[in-house]
Amino acid sequence: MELFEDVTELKELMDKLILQTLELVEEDVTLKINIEKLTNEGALLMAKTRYSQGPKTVSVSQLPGESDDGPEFNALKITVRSENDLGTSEFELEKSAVNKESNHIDPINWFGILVPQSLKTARERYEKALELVIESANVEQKLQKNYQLYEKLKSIKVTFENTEE
Amino acid sequence: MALHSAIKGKLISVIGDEDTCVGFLLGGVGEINKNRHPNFMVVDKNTPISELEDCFKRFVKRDDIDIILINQNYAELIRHVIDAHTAPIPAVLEIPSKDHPYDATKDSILRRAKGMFSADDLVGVNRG
Repeated sequence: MELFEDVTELKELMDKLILQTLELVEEDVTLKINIEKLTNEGALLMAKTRYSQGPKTVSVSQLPGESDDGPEFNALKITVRSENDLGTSEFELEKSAVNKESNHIDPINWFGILVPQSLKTARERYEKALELVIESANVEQKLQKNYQLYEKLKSIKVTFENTEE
Repeated sequence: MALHSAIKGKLISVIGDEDTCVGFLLGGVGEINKNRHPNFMVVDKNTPISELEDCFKRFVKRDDIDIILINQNYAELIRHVIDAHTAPIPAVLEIPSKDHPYDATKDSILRRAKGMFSADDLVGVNRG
C-alpha cells in the first residue's frame, strides 16, 4: 500500500487535481455559454424563416416521427469514441455526406424544396454548436475522471491519517 | 489516429424543446433506426415528467447512443435520475434553451466537481 512515501506527496497531487478541475470548469462554462450564443442565434434565424414562410414551415410537424411510414434514415453526424492512455474517453465528430444509398438524407429537405437562406444559416449555427458540444463532452469526461481520482486519493489520505495516530 | 475503422460511430441524442430538437436535427444528428426508434424527443409544457424520465432511461440503456443532449430546464425536472447516472458513457450534456439561460450551479457534472471543494475535507482530524 506504499503508493506514496508520505502524505505530503499525496496532498500535493490532490492540490494539483483541484487546480486542474478549476481550469476545466472554466473551460466548460465558456463552452456552454458559446453553445448558448449559437443556439440562440439559430433559434432567431428559424423564427425569421417562420416569419417569411409561415409558422408551420419550421416546426415539430415537419420532423419524422415514430408512427410515420417514412423510411428509416441514418444520422449525418455521429460520434467516435476513443480511450486515451489515462482511461478517459474522447469524442470526435464524424460527418457523413448526404447519400441516398446509405440512407443519409439531408434534413433540410423536411422543410421544403427551396428553403430560404435564413434556414441554411440556422443550420450552420447548429452545426457549429455541435462541434462545441463535442468539446464540452470531452471536458466533462475529464472532470468526471478528476472527481473519481480525487475521491480515491481522499480515502487513501484518510487511511494514512488513521495509521499515523 | 482513432481506431474506428470497423466500428460504427455512436449517436448524439436530443431531449429538448421544439427549437432545440428542430435545430440540432437540422444540424444532422437525427436518426430513426429500423425499429422505428428515434434518437430525439420533443418536449413541451404538456409532457408528463414520467415520459421524460422514461425517455432518458431508454436513451441511457441504448448502446448506440454516446451523448445525450438535454435542455437544462428539463434536466431540472428529472434531476434525481440524472444525478443517479454516474457512468461516464453516455455523456449527459445540459444545454440552455432560449427561455432558460445557462446556469452552471444546476449542472450535475459541475455540481459533482464542486463537491471536491466542500468544507468537510478541510475540517480534519483534531490533532490537539
